[in-house]
Amino acid sequence: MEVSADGAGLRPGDVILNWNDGDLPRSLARWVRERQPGETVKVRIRRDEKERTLEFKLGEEKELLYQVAEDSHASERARHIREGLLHGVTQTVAPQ
Amino acid sequence: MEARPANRWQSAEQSSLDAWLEKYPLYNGPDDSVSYYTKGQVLGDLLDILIRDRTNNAKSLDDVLRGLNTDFAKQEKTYRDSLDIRLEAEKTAGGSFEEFFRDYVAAAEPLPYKHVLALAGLDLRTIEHKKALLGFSAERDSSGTVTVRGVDDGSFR
Repeated sequence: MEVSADGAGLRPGDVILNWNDGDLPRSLARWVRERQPGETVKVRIRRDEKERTLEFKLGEEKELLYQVAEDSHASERARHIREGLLHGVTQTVAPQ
Repeated sequence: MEARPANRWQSAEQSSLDAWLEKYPLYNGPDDSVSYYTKGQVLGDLLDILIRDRTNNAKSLDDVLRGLNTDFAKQEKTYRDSLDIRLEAEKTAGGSFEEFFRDYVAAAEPLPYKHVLALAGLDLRTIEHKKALLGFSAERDSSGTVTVRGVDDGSFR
């Protein structure tokens, strides 16, 4: 069964002493960006003057990534505008 | 930018007016604000394509900026926010941009990516991606101590 930080019992006010048996990453936000959902994290915490170890799995969230791609079926006019846009130049389309 | 919920309600114009709130960390969250740098750049790209389309690629956003330099900076005149930029864009392209500035600059209507990008032979594609979530937030104090501040109610979404 997957256990989240919440399910593992992490609580506001807990002081994190170490992270995966090592030093705490300088930026947790940056650290998590390079991890995969479901990876296990082991933390040593202090709560009410007592130390304990908790293990939980990273959660997951779906996000949409956007990509602008060239349309291979674009008209000649649209391709001309695209070239101008991508190269920062202006040049009228020759009459056909 | 599109992944930030605030993008649905905060316009680029409003974001720039609210810039003074950036010193408060909560304001910078995805639910609370969108960057006027990012949204402004996207709007500029879309406007560039529209100007090129209307002028058969003879003019671009660069001409709008050159026009602002000639009509205002070189004459030591100030320009009115949004309005004079719109009027300069209209002078460059030879047609109205009232709807563009009303809906996408001053308001937060969904941007017309599909329609405008197609004018430049471009296509917007979306890819679903699963990212890892920590499941809690923490704060580091001046002594380096890291304390848990909040824990998500479950973190598997």
